[in-house]
Amino acid sequence: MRIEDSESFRAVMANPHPQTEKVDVEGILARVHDGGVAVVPHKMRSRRTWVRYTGIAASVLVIAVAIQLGRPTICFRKSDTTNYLTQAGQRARIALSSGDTILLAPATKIKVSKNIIDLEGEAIFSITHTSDKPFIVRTRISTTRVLGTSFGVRAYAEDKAVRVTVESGRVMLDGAGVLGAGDVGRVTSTGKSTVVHGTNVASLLEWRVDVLSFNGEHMRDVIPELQRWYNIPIVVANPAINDLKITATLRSRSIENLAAVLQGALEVKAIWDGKTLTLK
Amino acid sequence: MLFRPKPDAELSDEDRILSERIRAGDIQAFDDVARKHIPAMVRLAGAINPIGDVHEDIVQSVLARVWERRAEFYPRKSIVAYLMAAVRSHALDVRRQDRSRERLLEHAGDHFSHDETLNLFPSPDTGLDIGDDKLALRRAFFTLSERQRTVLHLRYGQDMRYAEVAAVLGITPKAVERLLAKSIEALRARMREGGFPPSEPSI
Repeated sequence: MRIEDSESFRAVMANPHPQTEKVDVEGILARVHDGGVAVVPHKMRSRRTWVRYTGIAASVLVIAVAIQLGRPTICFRKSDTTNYLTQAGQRARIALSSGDTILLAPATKIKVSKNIIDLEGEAIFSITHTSDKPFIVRTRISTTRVLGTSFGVRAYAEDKAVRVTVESGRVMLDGAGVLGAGDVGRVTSTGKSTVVHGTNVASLLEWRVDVLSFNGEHMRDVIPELQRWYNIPIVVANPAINDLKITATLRSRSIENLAAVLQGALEVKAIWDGKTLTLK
Repeated sequence: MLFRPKPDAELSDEDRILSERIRAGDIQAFDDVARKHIPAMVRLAGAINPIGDVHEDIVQSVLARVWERRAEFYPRKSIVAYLMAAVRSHALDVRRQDRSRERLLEHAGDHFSHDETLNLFPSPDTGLDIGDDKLALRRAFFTLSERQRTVLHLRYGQDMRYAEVAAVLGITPKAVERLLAKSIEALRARMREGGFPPSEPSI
């Protein structure tokens, strides 16, 4: 009998890899809509291999791998710490081995070390609470202890304050106390903290579904956000534009659409030449 | 006057309508297409990339990019061929980067273990319920080159037409026939040799 006529051959050809026997179709689809492009981190080496090479690994291993379609998300791994980095214009979802997930906004860096995460940029965390092992998110000026929740932290280098937005569950923000669903806590570099209750937190976390909203914000604050989001330089030819306030919702990644929205909302000329967006 | 076919001129009516709906931002059409093809996409990623457990992540990334760039969604032969080609491209990227990591480790005096690959081929005492003939076939399959694995999987595992397989691999249907014949022959030879994996997986 020819090999290709055998039942075993058909079965193995249909599913060559044992790990792809069961496929979580709905899970994948949900992650596509929720998180976009996935970070594909290195597979951890086995404990046996780790023990064998731990001395060398601890001293010299800094591995850079760029994994993505087109523009890469870059992961660095050293010892038991993993660094993830998104470029401007890029988002990424990280699935931790614990089952928790982190969605990274553009131009964000995080360092994951066991249950501690150091963040610069913006991310949304979906964390399951385990009392024996609290999850901690640190920024340059704040520490958030997770009590089982979904929440966002924004801490770009140029931000004057760190913002913690709680979508569900509770977190402990050092200096501000416990935040619950709908609360937005802010901590400034001087340690001053404020909490606003009953906020429409959905609008602050809408970037995860490709929506950017601005509500009466100054263009001088909005422009860095747009540059990060669209990964383009924006030139303001008329300085008075920086003082204008904008209220707009962007639902498309198209730069042409951005130019049209800015023109409509600000009554300025927005010219996209394929490389630079100029406002005048 | 030169005749320039439309990009989707070779599509079936069903695929053409679905493509148009996806380009127009119809998320239901996208979801229907994704649900239909996700299992096959994941299995192709598994056939291409034996190491690691990133097959679902590869498919997620491909679909996210398709949706993100839906305005450019113009399959030529069929939607399934388009998606499979995208999965293959991304799975090969991931594989290349795994090998870059391997080189970095070797450069640092470390040595990358292929334990992960060997785990695909469990010894009888693992207690896994897997037939000997299937195990031998899997062993032999993963010693083939990536192109041989892909052509066998798409043709015999997913029953794709020669023209569709050709579109995925970027070769002619005639070349698919030749590659398929050589792949079968190579598989037979490896089966005769016992199907043991080589010291380094093929790509």
